Amino acid sequence: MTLTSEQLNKIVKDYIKKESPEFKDVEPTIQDEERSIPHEVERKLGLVHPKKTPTKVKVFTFKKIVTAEDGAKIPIVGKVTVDAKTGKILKSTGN
Amino acid sequence: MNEEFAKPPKGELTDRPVPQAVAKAKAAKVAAKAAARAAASRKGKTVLIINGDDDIHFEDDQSVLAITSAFQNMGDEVRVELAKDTSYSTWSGYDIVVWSCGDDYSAIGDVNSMQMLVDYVTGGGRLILEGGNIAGWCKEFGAGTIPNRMFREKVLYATTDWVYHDVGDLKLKNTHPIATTPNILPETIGFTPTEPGDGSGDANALRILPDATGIYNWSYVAYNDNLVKESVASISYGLIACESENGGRIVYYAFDIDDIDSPDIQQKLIQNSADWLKKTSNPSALIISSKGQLIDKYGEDAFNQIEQKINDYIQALNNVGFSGNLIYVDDENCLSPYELIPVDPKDATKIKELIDELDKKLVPSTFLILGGHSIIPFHIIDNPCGDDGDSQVYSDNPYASRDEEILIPERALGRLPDDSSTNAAFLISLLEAITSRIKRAKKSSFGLSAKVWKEASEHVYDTIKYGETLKPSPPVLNNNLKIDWINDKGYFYFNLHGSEETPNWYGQEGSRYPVAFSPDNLANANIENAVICTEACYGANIIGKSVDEAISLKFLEKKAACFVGSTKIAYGPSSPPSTDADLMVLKFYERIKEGHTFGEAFLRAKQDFAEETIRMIGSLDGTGKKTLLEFVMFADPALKMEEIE
Repeated sequence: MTLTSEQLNKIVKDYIKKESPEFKDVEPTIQDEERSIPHEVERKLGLVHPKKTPTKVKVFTFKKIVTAEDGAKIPIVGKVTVDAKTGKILKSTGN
Repeated sequence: MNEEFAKPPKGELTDRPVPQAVAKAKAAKVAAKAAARAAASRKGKTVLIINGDDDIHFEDDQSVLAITSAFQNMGDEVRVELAKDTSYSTWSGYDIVVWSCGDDYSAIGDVNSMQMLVDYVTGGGRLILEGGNIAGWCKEFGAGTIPNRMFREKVLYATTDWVYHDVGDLKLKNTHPIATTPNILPETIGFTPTEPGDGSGDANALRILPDATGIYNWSYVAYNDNLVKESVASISYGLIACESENGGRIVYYAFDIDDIDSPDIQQKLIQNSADWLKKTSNPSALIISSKGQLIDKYGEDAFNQIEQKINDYIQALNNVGFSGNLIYVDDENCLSPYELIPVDPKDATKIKELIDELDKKLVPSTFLILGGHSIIPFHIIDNPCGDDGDSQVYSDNPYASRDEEILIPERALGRLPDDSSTNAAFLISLLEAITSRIKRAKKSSFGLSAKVWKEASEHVYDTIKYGETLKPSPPVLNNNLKIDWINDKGYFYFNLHGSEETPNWYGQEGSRYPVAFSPDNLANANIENAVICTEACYGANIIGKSVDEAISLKFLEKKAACFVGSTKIAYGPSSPPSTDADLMVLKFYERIKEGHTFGEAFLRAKQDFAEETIRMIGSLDGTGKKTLLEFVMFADPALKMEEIE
């Protein structure tokens, strides 16, 4: 059964609260991302048997601007990729 | 200049010299003709044929006889040795070495043979490798050992994908001199394996690395009587050619040559291969800049100084067996010898197209962009993970790609940037630095990471540490960082925050973002010849920056040999496994430690990055694509690090 947007949102927010608490009060933007490898990339790398992956994932982006101790504004971004069907966290990355 | 035979009549000469630009264009044409004459004069070479077919059915194999007769028919002097008797120290005395395995199923299975072949081709040797199961054996029994990996990558140029045995006829896939010169080979070469579809060792169908050329693939590829998908078969090759780093060339017949149906075609293929291998192929560097932009920014006098330094650099290249071609993208005199026309130096797309044409005509081994964004612009590409605050990404990837697919580069390319000042001193100092061709640095390192990323950073830092420990920030800050930690270090690794507003890099603990590293930290440091990689956001953002406004430029001013970083927001995980920027730096340093040139290491790091990302998550996601695009290298790509104790 496919999870609803609300359910996915809760899974990711719970994850962020635990792993990257600096984003706990940030409302994420959500993008659908198609998981595929461009044919030309496959050709260049000589790959034809990529690992099978969910074709549809959602990427939750948490973004805020923080002020460093010297006054500089620093953009802080966290991205969590989740399987749109199962809610499994596939990747977490940030800057 | 040679004196003319007789003086012309008085009054016919002016006192004006031939314009410098015209003289240069003429000199380029003369050099091109001389190179052609030199290539034509290379006949009657010495060839060592090593018989590596030592399986129990070796007596049915005629490969060595076919190869010997082809070379003798060309007037070459041939010596044949058994693989077990050959002495590597003698190989350099031959113009071409042939290692023939015929249908030996367990071909080149020992570490010594692999190592000899790796050393030979990476040292500039010319090799024909013949055998129907070399790649298959390497794949099935070599496992992940380092000698096997080096052999696979540097001699076979094979990927880690499955190798098939059951094949049809050879089918022409890519036009290459080996298929056309001097003999035009047919589109289809009839091939009949002695024992098709089994472990006979008659043929392999293998997938190859991007820098190799697959010349012939197979009319079909099968496994247990089932055809392999066309998408796989079409990129599974039987005849492969590649050029290695130091002018080495390899022709790899992934088949038993005596199984080619026509003895005449056997001979012609060997002749074409020998012809290609014999041709002069000194490694060469293509140096790309803009005369108009340099003059506009620095003035004529400074431009002349810059050009003199470029000429000194080219002379230094010549002294180590490299040739250098300086091309101003907007200068007709530079381009007319190649029948090319100038382009707008502000148009990155047109410059890429010009580089593509120059690549075809000059076949350079490395590409050096001379100048920053105001001289030769970065490509400005829509951000593939668009909602992070960067609408666009500055990238050199298109210049490093041979086609319109720009994520995976195929050229060893670096940039020597200038700064925002109108004083050319900085650029001139960088040219002087690369004119010194020896880059020795100590086996030592410095690593600094935001405290919150320490665990992930340690995984990356492991590749370059020599007993040092990664420093976390905080508590390490720019105002308590000891100069002894950075003085005389060979390798630097930074995983810190960055900002577009200041030159500083920042640590993090909770919601605290202190200054961890600033240009001032380098003011009195000796970091000559060091290699630096940073994951800091905007770590390689140099647009409109002076030396004191960008740590990257400060490192270069202090004579670092190589700086790798990101032009925009860069990503990474908080714990292993490494992804995104962490993975890019990890792969780059792995390649540097293997002894590659900076250009080769950066090129392969991006290829490795893409392969590993796809292996991990099954695709290239938005941050993966952005990482590939935004990481740039400021270095002479032909240089390499020599470690000293």
